[in-house]
Amino acid sequence: MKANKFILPISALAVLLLASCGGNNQQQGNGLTEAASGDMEAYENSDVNTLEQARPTIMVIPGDQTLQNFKCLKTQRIDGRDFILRDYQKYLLKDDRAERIISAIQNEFNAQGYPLNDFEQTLKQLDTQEALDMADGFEKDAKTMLLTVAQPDIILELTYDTSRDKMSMTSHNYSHKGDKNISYTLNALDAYTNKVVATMTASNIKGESTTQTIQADLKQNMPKFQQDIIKYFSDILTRGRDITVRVAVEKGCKVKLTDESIEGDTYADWIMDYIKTHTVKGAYKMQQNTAKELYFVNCRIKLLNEDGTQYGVYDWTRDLQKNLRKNLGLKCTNKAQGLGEVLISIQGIQ
Amino acid sequence: MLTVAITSCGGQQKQGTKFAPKDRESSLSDSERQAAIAQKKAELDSLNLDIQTLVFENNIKLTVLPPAATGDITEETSALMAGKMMQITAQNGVGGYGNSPAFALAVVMAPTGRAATGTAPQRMMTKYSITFFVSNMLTGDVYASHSEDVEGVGVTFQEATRNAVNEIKNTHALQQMLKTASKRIISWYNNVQGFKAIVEENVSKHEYETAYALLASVPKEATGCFEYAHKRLDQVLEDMNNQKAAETLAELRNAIAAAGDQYDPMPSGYLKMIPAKSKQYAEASKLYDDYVKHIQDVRMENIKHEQKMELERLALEQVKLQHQQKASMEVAEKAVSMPSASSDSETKQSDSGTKQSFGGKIVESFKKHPLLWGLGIGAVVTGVGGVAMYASLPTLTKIGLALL
Repeated sequence: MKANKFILPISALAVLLLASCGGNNQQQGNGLTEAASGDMEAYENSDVNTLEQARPTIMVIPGDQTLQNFKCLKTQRIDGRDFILRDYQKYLLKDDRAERIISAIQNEFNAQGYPLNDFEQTLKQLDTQEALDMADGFEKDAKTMLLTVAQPDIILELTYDTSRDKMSMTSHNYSHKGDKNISYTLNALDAYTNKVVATMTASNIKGESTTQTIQADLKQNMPKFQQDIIKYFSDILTRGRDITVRVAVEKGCKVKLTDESIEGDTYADWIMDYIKTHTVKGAYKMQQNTAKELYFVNCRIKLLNEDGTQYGVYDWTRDLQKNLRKNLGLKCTNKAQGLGEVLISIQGIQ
Repeated sequence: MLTVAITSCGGQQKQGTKFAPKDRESSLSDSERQAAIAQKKAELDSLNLDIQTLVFENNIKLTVLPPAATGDITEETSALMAGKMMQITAQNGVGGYGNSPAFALAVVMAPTGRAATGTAPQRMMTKYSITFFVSNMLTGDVYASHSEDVEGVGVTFQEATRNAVNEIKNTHALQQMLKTASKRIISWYNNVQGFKAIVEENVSKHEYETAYALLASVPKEATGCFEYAHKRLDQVLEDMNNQKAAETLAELRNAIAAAGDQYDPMPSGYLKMIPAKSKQYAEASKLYDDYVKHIQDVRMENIKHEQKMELERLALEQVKLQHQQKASMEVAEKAVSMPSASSDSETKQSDSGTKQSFGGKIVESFKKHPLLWGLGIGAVVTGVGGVAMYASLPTLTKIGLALL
């Protein structure tokens, strides 16, 4: 009975304390919901920013040399052909420095307000997605499975290595292991055009801690590196998105690109003319011209439609597909991927 | 800073485009839309496998022969393919595994390409040209075939191959191929004279198994052949059994020789395989009976021998017991004369000087305390008495008398 006397006041006190905590937060505005603010109306009324509409994904991925240093890259010969096998998951487990170095790079970008997608988490998410798809019974063809991978638009390829100076033969300091040399390279690559957007490299930096040394050096070189990335994006805004264009004939299709079309000239000529007139200032470069495939690089396409909606590679391919069907009677499929890869496959005459 | 810089780049666009999307306008009226949807549905339905138009019941048993597990084709992939083939054959006609493979649905998987991506995670891709064919396993004739290309992607080439096999579907083209094959098989059987010639040729060459398999495989639909096969089957079976009996008899002989004096179930198994009507049966029965009798004789001899050995062992045990009793008596007698032995020990102990053993210390203490003598002797006598009592009563009596 005596104990019961205290239960009610103590409970009341606890409730008051909890309530006061919440109340204080509200008053001070320190909570997540209170501290975060935004004006959607103002944002919607502002001008369209094309990079915000289709924000490119950036991801730090270990380079082949680093994988090899940790024995996570091997060559397998099958039927007289060498295949390079990369085991990224094994590498992430074997290299205890990987997470710290990658985090250091991500931190530098985050500090400048540019979030990066985490590579390790992406791999985990892909595994989860695969299991979930299996449970949901989704149909998956070979192409879908090929594309179910980490697909950053900008790859930050990281390669690093460490070595030690050889001990001097004239020195009698036998306990000295020799100075540690750390080298690293960080390349920013456009995944579609394979263009190097920015690069950062350092060789033989002295330091005992690999992570700390790379981190310190990254901090120093990051402004220049990020400036190069900004330059790349500014270039996109000025001259349009840089894309690759492939027009390929499917297996079994009797149409050849060198055949004469109903318009009189060849299919290849007609496509070439289309590209000339549908790229920003006619920017393109032919890479390959065969009876079965046309391949163009450095093609620049516009970023926006007149109504402010985004115009990407899929839209560009759709327009080409419509024209091929309407003007030449070709049956074709839009197989564009990501932000910079146009692929149109010709199946025959409609 | 980076975002701000990029955003400001976008913001600096001269046009200052506002986001003003418009909904897509359709040119179709509601009724036109409904009609178009119905037409689209009909188009999609026409792609489904029309089971009814493909039903053909010819009762031709097709044994499925999946690819052997080798290279990128694992046991699991082979089993997966077998399951798919079984499903394809079972839809029309009868599918089966293994026995009497007169007609088979076989498959050839020829790799046409391999590739490894440069993505993370890495993906492997395999491409196969797959050819299904229905053939007569006895004559080697192929009645129909169907080829298709399949590709699969996986983390390893083996997984990619399994996924490629998973892509194989029971299509209209495959069923059409089975239908064509069945028709050709029936027409092959309808050539009764030709069929008879093949069977009789095999019989004349004493290839009864092939002849039997041919006769047993005739479907009811091939009426002429079926009638002939029905009549001929029993005789060919008997011939086959007789031929088999001769071979089995030889195997029975070998099995009996290998068994020697031991019982082995193999000869019995071989005997059961020889038909009772065959010429070899009497000889086989005699061989087996002799073998069984020999085993029984050997066993009887063994039993007698074992009995003899047991009696000898018992006699030996008796002698051993007598010797043990004698030895116990001697031990007891020695125990009685123990005090003089301990005094000898005392003498030896005093000689050893300062380095006395534990036993020596005990003897020394006995010297100092005479009362311990009495207790010591008492303990020895009680111990010896116990041993003696355990040994035998007559001996105990003797010891008692000797002590008195």
